[in-house]
Amino acid sequence: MKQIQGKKGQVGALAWLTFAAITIALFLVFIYAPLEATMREVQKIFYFHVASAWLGMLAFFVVFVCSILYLIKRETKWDIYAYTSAEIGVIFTSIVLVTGPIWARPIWNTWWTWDIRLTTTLIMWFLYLAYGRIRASLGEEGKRAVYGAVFGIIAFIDVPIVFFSIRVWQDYQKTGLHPIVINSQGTGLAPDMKPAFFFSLFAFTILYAYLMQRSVKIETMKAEIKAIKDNVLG
Amino acid sequence: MNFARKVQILLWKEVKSELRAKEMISAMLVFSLLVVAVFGFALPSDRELVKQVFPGILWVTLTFAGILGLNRSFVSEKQNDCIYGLMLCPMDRAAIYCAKTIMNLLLMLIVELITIPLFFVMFNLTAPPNLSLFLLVLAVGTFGFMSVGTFLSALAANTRSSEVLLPILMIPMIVPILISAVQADKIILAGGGFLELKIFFNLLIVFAVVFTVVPLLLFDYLLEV
Amino acid sequence: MDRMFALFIAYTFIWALIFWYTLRLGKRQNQVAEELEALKKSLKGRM
Repeated sequence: MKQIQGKKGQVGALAWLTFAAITIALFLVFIYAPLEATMREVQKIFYFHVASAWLGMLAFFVVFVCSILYLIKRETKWDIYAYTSAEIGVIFTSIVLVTGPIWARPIWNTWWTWDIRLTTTLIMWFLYLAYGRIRASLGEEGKRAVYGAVFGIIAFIDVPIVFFSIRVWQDYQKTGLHPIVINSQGTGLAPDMKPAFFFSLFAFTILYAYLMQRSVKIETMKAEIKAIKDNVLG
Repeated sequence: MNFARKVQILLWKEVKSELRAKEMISAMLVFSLLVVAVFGFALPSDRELVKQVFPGILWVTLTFAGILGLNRSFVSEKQNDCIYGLMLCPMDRAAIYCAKTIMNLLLMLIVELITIPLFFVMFNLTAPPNLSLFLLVLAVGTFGFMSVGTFLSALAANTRSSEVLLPILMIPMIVPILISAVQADKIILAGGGFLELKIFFNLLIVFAVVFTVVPLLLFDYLLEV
Repeated sequence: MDRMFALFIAYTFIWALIFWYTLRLGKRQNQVAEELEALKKSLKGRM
């Protein structure tokens, strides 16, 4: 299913690992984990839905850290890490926003609700897109990396504030359909579901590493090409 | 020359150039008045219904009027490369940011002072019982809005599609203001007191503080040559 | 909306997206690698 590079061993290893992890995760989700009492089959969306949400947050955090590092060190590689992570983040946040409503419709009888996690995810998605738009409207000029980094920082700082303002709002209205997965009493999961849940998180983290690695490789090669062209022509 | 004096000089420059052409303020005012009229047509005349949606409408209007004004804030500097003139001045880049923010804030407050009473008149609403509270929420919310808005305006002005980009950048960022201010206004219009809206007010303050400090730290990066 | 169908749609979407992205990466990689090789060859040719 996944292309395995004919090149050096490293990429090959991570690709195999990703393939194996996802396969195991699928097994755990569909075969090992029991059917949930009320929601039955549809609940199985949950495992990859939450894993995608986790990946989205992780990717955004990486954008934040790499943006700071870029502004301090000004090495191109930090800029590359930042925007490849953002690209992966958009994809997985989109997965969250689509699988959420698909799950919600049969259960809550509504496609959407202004619940805290959904709304914060939506805003985060918009912020990612804004980040992409900034980079798109700056072309090859040197400012692209700097402006992207600046927005990467300020946008990430906004996310917790958005989260808290929505929580305050929801508490005030005392609504909330979204199940809380992890609270102070531990996970609300049946014991048999835990392996599928935690392993999905793990598998998606490996997937993130793999996608990052490939993307960064491509971008680094592109930068090499540009450098050669500049050298020859410049 | 100390920092405050520098900001004062820059601010005076902003005021004078705005007084000359009155570009920003006229655009913002006309737009807001139009929106008041449009909502007058668009909304049902049932006073109770309108009362419920009013805070939302108010802040949406302010948001778009604000974006309109902010669009021009730094774009005007791009003409004739005025921005380089500014950067040549022997002062902290942050002073430019402060002056612009204060200027935008003043403009926005003037627009609000004119359009909000009109909103109340148009929808036949009585003035909020706790007027000072209403004004306080308005002031803090507008300040947070303008401080992050001025920063993002500087960012967007240097890109190709600056006028389209600014709303895309700003609207997700100011969601906390919109949520807190609208809820606070709902409480105020229903006759609530400070204690009830304290938590939303705290959020507005936190937002205003964070998004003044962070832009101040990052502003220099936007003006790099 | 029948629940099995919902499950099917959701997972199909996830897989389609991940698959599409991986394939796109693969295509990009091949393109860029080719360009790089071509450039390097033409440079060698000049020297």
